[in-house]
Amino acid sequence: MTHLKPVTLLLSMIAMAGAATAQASDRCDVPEDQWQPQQALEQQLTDQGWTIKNIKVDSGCYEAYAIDADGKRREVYFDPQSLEPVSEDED
Amino acid sequence: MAKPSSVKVWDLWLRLFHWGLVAAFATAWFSADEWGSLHHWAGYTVAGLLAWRCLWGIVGPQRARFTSFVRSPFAVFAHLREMLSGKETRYLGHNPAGAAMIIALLIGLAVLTCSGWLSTTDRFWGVDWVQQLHVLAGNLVLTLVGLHLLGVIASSWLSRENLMRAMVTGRKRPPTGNDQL
Repeated sequence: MTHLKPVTLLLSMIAMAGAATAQASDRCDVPEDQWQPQQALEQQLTDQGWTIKNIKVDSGCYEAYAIDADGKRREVYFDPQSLEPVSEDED
Repeated sequence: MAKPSSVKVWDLWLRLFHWGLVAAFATAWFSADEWGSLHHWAGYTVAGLLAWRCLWGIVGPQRARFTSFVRSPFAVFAHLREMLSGKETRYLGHNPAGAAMIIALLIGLAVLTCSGWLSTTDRFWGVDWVQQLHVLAGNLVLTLVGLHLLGVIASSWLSRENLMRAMVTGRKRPPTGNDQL
């Protein structure tokens, strides 16, 4: 019966991974016709002295990967309507 | 003189590597969505353990050395066929299929840790293919871990020996007639 333990662990790993993925949805909730174009966010970040590496759409937000004016790597979620930062993932 | 009830097979450093890797990979898996420093440090630990295992595979004791257990793909498939038929040759060290899994896990973990580290560099910050490769390698390694566990359970069953306990104690039942040393 000692064999059961790692199998149980593995299954719970998979289950937890699934739960974590499901949780991550919808950080922002803005109707499609109220989105500002991505160029507006690019302009805003460039004006702050950021170097944009990649911008994509994730959890209903713009997700920006950039190097900020201090040379720090940043991963920031922006509200697509107000272009205000919503949350930031630590590097 | 009575025959010994068990013989030493796995050295202490090999066993510490194995369970250290289990702990580090599990930690990295559970902290995957945080992207915090815990995930990074777990990843660096995995990378360090990989480097250590490669070194130990060259200069370590006989049973830890790659040359002592890595076999041709033909030998691997022949052993898997034996297992499926319900009669496998008992190896005191790694059997050919287990050895192939070790190599697959080492390569998978190397890709996993390299892509993870790359995704934290300025050059590859936010680059899609690096992140996708990292996720793919993570799922691949988890799948390999599952197959590894199945293989260990099957081989334990066929050889009537708890191989997981052997990786804790480092000891196995003494070899008999047809066993491969």
